[in-house]
Amino acid sequence: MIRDLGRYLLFTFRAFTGMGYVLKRPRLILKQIYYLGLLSLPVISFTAIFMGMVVALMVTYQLEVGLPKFYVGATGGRTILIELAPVIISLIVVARVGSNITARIGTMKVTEQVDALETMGINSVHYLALPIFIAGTIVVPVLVIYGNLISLVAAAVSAKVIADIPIADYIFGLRRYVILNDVLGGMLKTILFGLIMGSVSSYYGFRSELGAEGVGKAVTQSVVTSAALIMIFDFIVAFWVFRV
Amino acid sequence: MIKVKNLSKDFPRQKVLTDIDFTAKDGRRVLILGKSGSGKSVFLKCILGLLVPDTGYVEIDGTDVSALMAKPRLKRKLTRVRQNIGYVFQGSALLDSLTVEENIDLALEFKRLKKSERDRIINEKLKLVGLSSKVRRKYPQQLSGGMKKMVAIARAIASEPKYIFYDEPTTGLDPAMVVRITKLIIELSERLDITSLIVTHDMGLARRAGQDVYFLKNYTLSRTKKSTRLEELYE
Ligand SMILES: Nc1ncnc2c1ncn2[C@@H]1O[C@H](COP(=O)(O)OP(=O)(O)OP(=O)(O)O)[C@@H](O)[C@H]1O
Ligand SMILES: [Mg+2]
Repeated sequence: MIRDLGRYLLFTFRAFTGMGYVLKRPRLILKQIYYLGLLSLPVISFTAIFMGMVVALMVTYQLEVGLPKFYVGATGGRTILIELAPVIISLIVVARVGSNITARIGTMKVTEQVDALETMGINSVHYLALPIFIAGTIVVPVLVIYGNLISLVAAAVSAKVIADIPIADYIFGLRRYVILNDVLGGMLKTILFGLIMGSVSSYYGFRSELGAEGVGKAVTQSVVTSAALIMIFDFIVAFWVFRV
Repeated sequence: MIKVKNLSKDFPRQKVLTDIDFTAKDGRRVLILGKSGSGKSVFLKCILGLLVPDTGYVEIDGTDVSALMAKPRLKRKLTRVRQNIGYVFQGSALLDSLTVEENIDLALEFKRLKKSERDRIINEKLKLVGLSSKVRRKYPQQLSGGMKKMVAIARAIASEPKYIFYDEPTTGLDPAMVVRITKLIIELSERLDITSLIVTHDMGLARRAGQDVYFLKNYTLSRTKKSTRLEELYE
């Protein structure tokens, strides 16, 4: 466990030593950004809509105790922006993209493509992993912004349809009670989540053992580890930024 | 020159190479023969540190590469040695997210050539292995097994390395291609004075191209007289 952590940190550190190499080849990064974004957009749109609807339902349910209607915008918005969208969307990206990255690099390793890079005098970790780290830290926050917007709209619409809460009240609640700190705190941690997703999934890809079975095992470990790390860091950030 | 001394490599629960001594003199075509699963591919990878040997000394062109493999810190130096080596992998190992031309281009990256020059080399090498430049924009998935092998050979010779490792360069090729590749291997070594390590099960290629012969059996590599009938070695 401790040794694994050490290996992972060393791997991540080594990847970053290739920054000069990768920055001279922006196409490597752009390709990954395109690929990560494309893979996750459909599933994230879908998740964000349902997330918004569920939040609207849960908050309107609580209005029964006599809370004012703008409360849907205030509490619902905060729940989405601070916690739900950043965490759920990051986890979805891990499931959709992180697993894919591990499988892709693992397959490259098993089919000697990683060896081929190395014999061509190219550092495979710089070439394959670092662009993914960078793309992850850019794409995950962008996807979360996108997910935020979709969820907020979905929540507004379903609050109107289900509980007849005027859109104007919803927007009033949002604007009155959601502060910049909420949005930024929610966003900042997603940069970290993106880095976790990118580095953990490449790490397990490189570590996967010979054979398709080995790659399968690596994918499982990669997803579980990324998800666990995201939850841990989510708690740390919450403790740090949002403690009253 | 490539020199290997006392090289051993085991995998968990499996012995593969024990105390290997091996020499490939400059400009020679050295055959490495042996039954399937005897460890030929593992041996080639150990020379370059793609697999790190458990023990042993490896020297390429006067550089002690076994010392470089052991320390990730020295990776840059190891990389520089590897740039002198072309490697045709048994399974071709083309990068499947790149087109044929991008695959070959990658092998030229470290040379820092102009785009037009690289273009010329890509066409030249494809022609040399008998492929038309129509395949340049294709992805490996769109090629047959034999065509992949030829692209892999084109990629390995693209940077005109001093050493070329061929791991079964002719499996999956039609007879005409086998003849062509056999000639190419001989011609490259003679024209450019390339040192070739050739792993093969193809006795035609072995007889025509081989100059020095090693046979891998019972975890060790032994030098064989050229007069020995190659087939007898397998009995
Ligand atoms: N990465 C690895 N991990 C574990 N075992 C391995 C690994 N690579 C090879 N082996 C084992 O080492 C032995 C030698 O394999 P190798 O691929 O070198 O054989 P080979 O002589 O090249 O055979 P072939 O002629 O079929 O290509 C095999 O038994 C193989 O299962
Ligand atoms: Mg082999």
